[in-house]
Amino acid sequence: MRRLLDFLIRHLNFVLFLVLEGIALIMLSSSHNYHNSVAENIFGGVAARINNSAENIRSFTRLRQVNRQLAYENAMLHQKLEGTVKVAPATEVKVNDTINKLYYTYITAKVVNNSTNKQKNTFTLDRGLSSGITNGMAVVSPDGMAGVIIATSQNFSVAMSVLNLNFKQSVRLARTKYFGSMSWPGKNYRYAEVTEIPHHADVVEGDTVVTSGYSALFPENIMVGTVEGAPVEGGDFLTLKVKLSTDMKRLTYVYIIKDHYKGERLGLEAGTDNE
Amino acid sequence: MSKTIKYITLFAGLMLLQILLFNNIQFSGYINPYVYVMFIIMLPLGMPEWLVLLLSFLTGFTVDMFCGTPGVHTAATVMAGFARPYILSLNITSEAISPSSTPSIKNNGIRWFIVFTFSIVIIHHLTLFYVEVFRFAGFFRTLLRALLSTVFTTFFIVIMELFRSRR
Repeated sequence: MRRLLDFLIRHLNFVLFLVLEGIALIMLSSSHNYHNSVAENIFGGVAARINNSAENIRSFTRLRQVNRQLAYENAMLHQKLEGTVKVAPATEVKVNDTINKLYYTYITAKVVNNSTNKQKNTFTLDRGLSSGITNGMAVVSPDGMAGVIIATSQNFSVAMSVLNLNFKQSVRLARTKYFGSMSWPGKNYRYAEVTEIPHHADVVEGDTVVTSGYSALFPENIMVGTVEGAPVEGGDFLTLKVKLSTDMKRLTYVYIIKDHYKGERLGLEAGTDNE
Repeated sequence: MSKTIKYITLFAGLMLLQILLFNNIQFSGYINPYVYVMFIIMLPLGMPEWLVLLLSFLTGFTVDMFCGTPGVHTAATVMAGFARPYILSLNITSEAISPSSTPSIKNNGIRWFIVFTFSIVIIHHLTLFYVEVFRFAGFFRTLLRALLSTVFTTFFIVIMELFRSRR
């Protein structure tokens, strides 16, 4: 016994080696139950959690592609929404051999340049004449109104931001249907102003403001923002402070809206201006 | 004490590098670098054998946790840790080696470092690849994988040591 102990102590390292290697081989041979028992119990799923974060990091590198796909898919879905197609009169069905008439086309675009800290802010998009972009097209973000195209080149276009002193848009209160005019006073990039709301209009804080569709720029019912604070009375109208639904500082992917009937509408309206 | 922290950092860094980077790189079916072996290589030259063995076991066990290969890496690292003192005693060059120092290109010269690294890595990889397939069918294919991977692992470890000693 004594001699055995002496032997073990003298060859401690070799014994330790055998023991550890033995444990490794036992782990190896019982690997079926191993995952459920030892790994889970000893490490409490730490390894699983780190492996999970590793996968998160890997998927993060794919986000650019995923974003593009989602933007494309959204554009497709928007086009399928009820509001963008109009049922044509029966007489035209025969002529055109079509049931639904396309009113708006949504084109995805990425913001490649953006300003929010000036008085006349603009942003640049990576779509231009080659994608069928022309001046006067509306630009909306997934959250709501964003701007209007004011200049185009072959592959890029510049849009006047909502945050531009020259920007004016006909809007209405979604709940009560009163319409007014929206503009940006040039102070805070999160807030715009709506004027020309009549005194008797019932306005409460949190009311939703959407585009009216009265101007040919934006389609109807595009989200603009929500009323914040009490209305200010001045002259014959109320002035509302509206928190913009689109955070213009975080604009990344937007849709450019092509209105297929804009020419016809504007032409008709121009012809009656002098009446 | 600061040395302990240095080794904990090295351990964590190598694990992350192995799990997040090298385990995801598909060089080819033949080349799988396992750079975490660097931890066993970098242990102090005069460290007691039993401690080297225990740390080797811990290293392999951790990698096994993440790779879902119970016992495979542990067997290989314990083998490498066991062989380390023998390689050190065979591998003495004309340069004097102080037992408290850690192996480095600066202290021991690049030739010594490459030979030492290669010796540890080849023992680790031969054990690893044969334990992994756990059979001697396709003996030469496994041998080729082990040898090619050894070359690449050694290469990456020497590169990392070059960067480390430059700082």
